[in-house]
Amino acid sequence: MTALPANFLNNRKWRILLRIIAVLVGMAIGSFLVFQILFLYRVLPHGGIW
Amino acid sequence: MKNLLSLLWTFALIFAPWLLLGALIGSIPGYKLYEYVWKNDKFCTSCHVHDYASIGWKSSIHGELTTCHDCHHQALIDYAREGLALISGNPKFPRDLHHTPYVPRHICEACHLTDADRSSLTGPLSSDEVDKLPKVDRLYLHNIHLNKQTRVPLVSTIPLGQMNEEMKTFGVFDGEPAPKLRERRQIICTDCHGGPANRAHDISVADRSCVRCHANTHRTQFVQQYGCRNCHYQDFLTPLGAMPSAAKIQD
Repeated sequence: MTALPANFLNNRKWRILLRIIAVLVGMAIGSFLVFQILFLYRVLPHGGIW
Repeated sequence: MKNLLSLLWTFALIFAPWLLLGALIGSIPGYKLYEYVWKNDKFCTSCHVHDYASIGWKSSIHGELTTCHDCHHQALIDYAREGLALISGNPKFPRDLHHTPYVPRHICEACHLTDADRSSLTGPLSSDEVDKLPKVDRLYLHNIHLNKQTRVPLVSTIPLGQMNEEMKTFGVFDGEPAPKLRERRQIICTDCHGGPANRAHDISVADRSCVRCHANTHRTQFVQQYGCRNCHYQDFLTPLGAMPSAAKIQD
């Protein structure tokens, strides 16, 4: 595995790449949380867990 | 380890706004997915390929007014079990259906009772439109039935094997009288809107449902052939206040 350059956070290309990754990770977390909260809000009051 | 934590913390600080931006953007597909899973019957029917039930539901009065989750409430674990059963067992109808559907009273009441809990409703109807649906507590013969008790067993509590036997005499005027329970129980919606005569989402009432309790009410052959609903149907939809004896019921 290639090691990251020591000053990669100062590198413009790395910063853009990491920002894009952060947005994508955020999208995955955001959509998962919104779906789970709304779904559980509907299911749990009427069916419970078990 | 300390260096790693420090590096992660630096990452979080630098990229937190971008994570938040992503989370905000991601909340839209998350909500759309929730809408599809919870409010669109296509999500359920893509796996639950049961033509008999889908046609029964679509052709019934509920077909355009409700979605699956309005009535089908289940525990969270059952969603996982369903997926597992579909992959491992691939159940088939009618071989693997071992029970008669049971519909608790509160599911019907969400739409058809005044001042009911409506939090479970996810169908296309607005709250104002639900207000306009028939409310059984304000309808004369519905009200009378729902305040009565019976010793006739609820159809969904009869084992399926025994049900097949009972089908021969179910709702027949001159058949064997229905077996009686030891103790009285409250009448619920599916006593009339359900049973072998009304399988798979077709919950309109048939005379056969009346006969289970009222087989001996009219003994003449003419009335038995003419049927129950020709005379009594309108009283199930007559407003409570329009009947002379309504004041007594309301008391």
